Amino acid sequence: MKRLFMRILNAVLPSRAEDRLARELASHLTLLEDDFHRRGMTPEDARLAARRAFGGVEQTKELHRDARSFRWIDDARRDLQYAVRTLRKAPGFTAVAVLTLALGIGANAAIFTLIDAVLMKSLPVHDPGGLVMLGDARSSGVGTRPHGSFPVYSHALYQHLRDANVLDGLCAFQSADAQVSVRRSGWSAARPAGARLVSGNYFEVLGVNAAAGRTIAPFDDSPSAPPVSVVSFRYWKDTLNGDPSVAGSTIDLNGVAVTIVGVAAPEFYGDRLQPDPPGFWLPISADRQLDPQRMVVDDPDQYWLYLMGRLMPDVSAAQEQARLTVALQSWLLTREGSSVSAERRREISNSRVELNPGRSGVPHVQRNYSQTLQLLLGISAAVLLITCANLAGLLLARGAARRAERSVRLSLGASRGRLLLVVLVFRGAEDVPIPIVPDVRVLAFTFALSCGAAIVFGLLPAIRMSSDIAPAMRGGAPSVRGSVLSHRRFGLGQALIIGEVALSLVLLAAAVSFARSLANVAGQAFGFDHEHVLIIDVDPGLARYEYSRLAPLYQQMDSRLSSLPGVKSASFSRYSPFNGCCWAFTVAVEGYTPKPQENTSVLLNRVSPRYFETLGTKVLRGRAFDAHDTPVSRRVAVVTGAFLHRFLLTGDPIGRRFGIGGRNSGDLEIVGVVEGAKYDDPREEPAPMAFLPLLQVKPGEEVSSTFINAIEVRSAGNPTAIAGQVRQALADIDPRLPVLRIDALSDQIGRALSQEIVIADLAVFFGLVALMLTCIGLYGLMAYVVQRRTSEIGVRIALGARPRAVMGMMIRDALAQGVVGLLIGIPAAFAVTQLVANQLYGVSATDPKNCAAAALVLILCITIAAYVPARRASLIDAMKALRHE
Amino acid sequence: MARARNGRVELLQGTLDLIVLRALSTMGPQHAYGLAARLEQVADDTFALNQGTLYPALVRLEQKGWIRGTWQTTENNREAKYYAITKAGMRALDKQAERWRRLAGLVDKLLFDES
Repeated sequence: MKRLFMRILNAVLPSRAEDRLARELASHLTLLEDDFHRRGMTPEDARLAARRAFGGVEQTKELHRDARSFRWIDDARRDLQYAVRTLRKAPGFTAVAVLTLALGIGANAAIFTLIDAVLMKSLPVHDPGGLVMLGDARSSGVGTRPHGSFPVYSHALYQHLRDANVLDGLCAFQSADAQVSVRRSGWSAARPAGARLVSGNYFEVLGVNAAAGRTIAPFDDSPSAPPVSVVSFRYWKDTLNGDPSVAGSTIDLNGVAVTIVGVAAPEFYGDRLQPDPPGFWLPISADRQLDPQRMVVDDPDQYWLYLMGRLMPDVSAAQEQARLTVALQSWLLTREGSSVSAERRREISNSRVELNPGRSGVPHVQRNYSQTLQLLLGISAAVLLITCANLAGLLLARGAARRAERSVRLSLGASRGRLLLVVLVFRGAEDVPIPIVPDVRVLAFTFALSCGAAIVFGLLPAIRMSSDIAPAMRGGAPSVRGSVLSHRRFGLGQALIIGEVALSLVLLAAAVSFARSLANVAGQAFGFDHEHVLIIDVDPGLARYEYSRLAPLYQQMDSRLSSLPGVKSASFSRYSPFNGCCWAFTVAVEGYTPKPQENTSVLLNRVSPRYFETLGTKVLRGRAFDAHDTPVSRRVAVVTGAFLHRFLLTGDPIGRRFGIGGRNSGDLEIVGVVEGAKYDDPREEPAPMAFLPLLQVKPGEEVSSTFINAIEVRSAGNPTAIAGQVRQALADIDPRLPVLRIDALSDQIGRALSQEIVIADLAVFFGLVALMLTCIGLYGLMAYVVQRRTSEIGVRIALGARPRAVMGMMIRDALAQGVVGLLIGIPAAFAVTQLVANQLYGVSATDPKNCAAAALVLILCITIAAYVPARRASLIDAMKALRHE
Repeated sequence: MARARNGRVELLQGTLDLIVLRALSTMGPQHAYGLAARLEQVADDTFALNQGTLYPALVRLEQKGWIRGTWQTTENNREAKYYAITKAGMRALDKQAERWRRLAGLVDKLLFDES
């Protein structure tokens, strides 16, 4: 025990022990010397004899250190000092090494932080592991009864399943994002905010507490209860300015006085990861007051809720799933009444509830981003690999300069393992992790990455260094013959460069592919002219408009907006491109007989007369809507070319008829055909679409689609410049009308393309980093080769080689390695672009142009990187080089 | 066992510690050089002792508390670190010597007994 303590102490504080040892050894030598002197030797001989008799002083010291402390601690400490000293002496090298490594590890840490945040984090609730999600959440919004596995549920079905008591608590919440118009005393205008309807037991089941006041309780969720709300901590802090008296205060949501009963816990952002989490949670019963026009809570055929619950302690998920499925089917059967067709019965027996892990909440974001993030991780890992290979190369090259020093250290008694350690510490000291969020997982990942990188790529050159001590000891520089041989034998550095070139090619080819893909997506013809268009998101429903009051409102807005200076035309629509378009409905087209089970749904939108003009969509045949298309006039529609194509309408389509919904007869007459436009996915072909006049509905038909969500304004100049005027004009018409967002159409498209843009930007950035690293690595290696071959080149020059020839030889060498790298890299690049082919648009994964462009850039850069050392080689002074020998 | 080289033997692992203890207990306090000289003299050049190899043994023994080193002056007025065996060292020497005797006897028996 005591010895253990002493050894650790000695390892940590070695200077005392080291001094004492030196003193003792000196005294020992003196005594020996005295003895020899006494025996009649001259002082000089005695001194030498004493040294001989004693043996190696340094070896003794090493042995002593070994015995007195833990060698590895002691060594690591000394090697760290050595590494720091060396790094200080070569600031240029250190800067390059630290920068490249920081870049590589930093990029990985950053991407991993994203992955950690998006894919691996649990909901900030009590025991997230116990949560299960009913269904896979693949659809959201309000819809009709699903088939097969249910992702969304109606309110009545929710209550039935909850009361079946299968799970240890089952809560429900709105599947789609919803907005409310918020007014508060002291605010000049209504402000939009995200809101979500949740069941009364939502906070209880998730195990979320209130930071102030209380959370929503089951008694709040009943038709007779007064409307209440819980605000999110973020909304309370940012928008309500942290008002301390917020709990118990009243706020105006969609014109309804709602009591805020509390503020949710600070870390709670809701049941899903999303960029703009809701500011308000309200009980589902509040749906009756908030938006009576579009109320869905009491309709058992409207499926709009996600369900989440907790597993019972001792019951398996499979058992619970079976019981929930039984409860679901019995509910469906009961609703059918006495007579159920065989087909319907079969459909019901296929209906089921699937339990999915609810740990991370509703997995929308995770689903959308996982592929992108994995791709980015792959790219950054490749960059790290290049970084490490590069550093290994740099170490090798520097190693050339430090050979003599290393040999001395070895002969002085440093063990080979110890020498490896020096290089490892050298590498380790450069690891600069850049954690964005100091999360344990991220730190652990970064640490493991750094260690792994340090070990693999510090070890390689170290092993190489320690394996050729002998030649270095024999003479400072190898002989001419030896240099040729060792140049040939120098496989590791070349292998590293070849690997780097291959990896760089893969990254560059990927970068080229992604950049071209983005250019294709962004530059394509969308079917409208997105320059000079301003989109204003509004919702008259939130300002308590009813169908009967819409016509005057639209009329008023049209005349106001059209007369604004700088406005060319204004229009209104239910949906605007790339903003949650559209609603899909089955149509029956006269003259087209669908096959059994054929899906004949098309996208529908309601638009005002000048819509196509404002967006710049071409009318191919017939006419757009005009002032004669009133709610009571003949029912008409405008369809896209894709619609005609879809339903095989050949000849003159004007006057052809179709109907919406299976039962309706063809009561819609086609009056115009417009070019197909992309409204949803920029990568897909335009879907078949039909446009209807804004207010034309049949008596008794659902009117919610007549409420506009968007105003389009085409401006003469920069569209965002007139945003202020537009906002003011709308406030003049009705101050209660909340403007949810004002944005240029091009920015709206940019948002839809944000993932593509991020991928392309990062791919290009990492590709350039890889290229730069490869060039640095190649430069280092060439410098090393020139140094090792100094005498050989000297002989060549002495024998009459012209400098130009020497330079050519060196560059050819570099290019040869580059070409080998390219030969390996090209198939790899093809393979990788195949992997990401589904993320590319308009770029063939096998397009040789991507690889060719990348290869050209690489060759060019390799030549430049090799030029400087090659030039140095051509300037070698033959006489000096030979004397050097 | 001990590797023979040029007719000299190398010491078995661990035996050097025992020998140093024994030498200190019979000769009284000694410095490292004195110990080395003494051991060479006794061994009559039959085993190889690189004088430096004494040091690890000395530091081990000192850390175990079996010997204690103090700086003193030699008769020729040189300073040197003198090591003396401690009480614990004496006990350890007895125990280790006994163990060695038994081990040596056993090895001897196993190797050379004809029975």
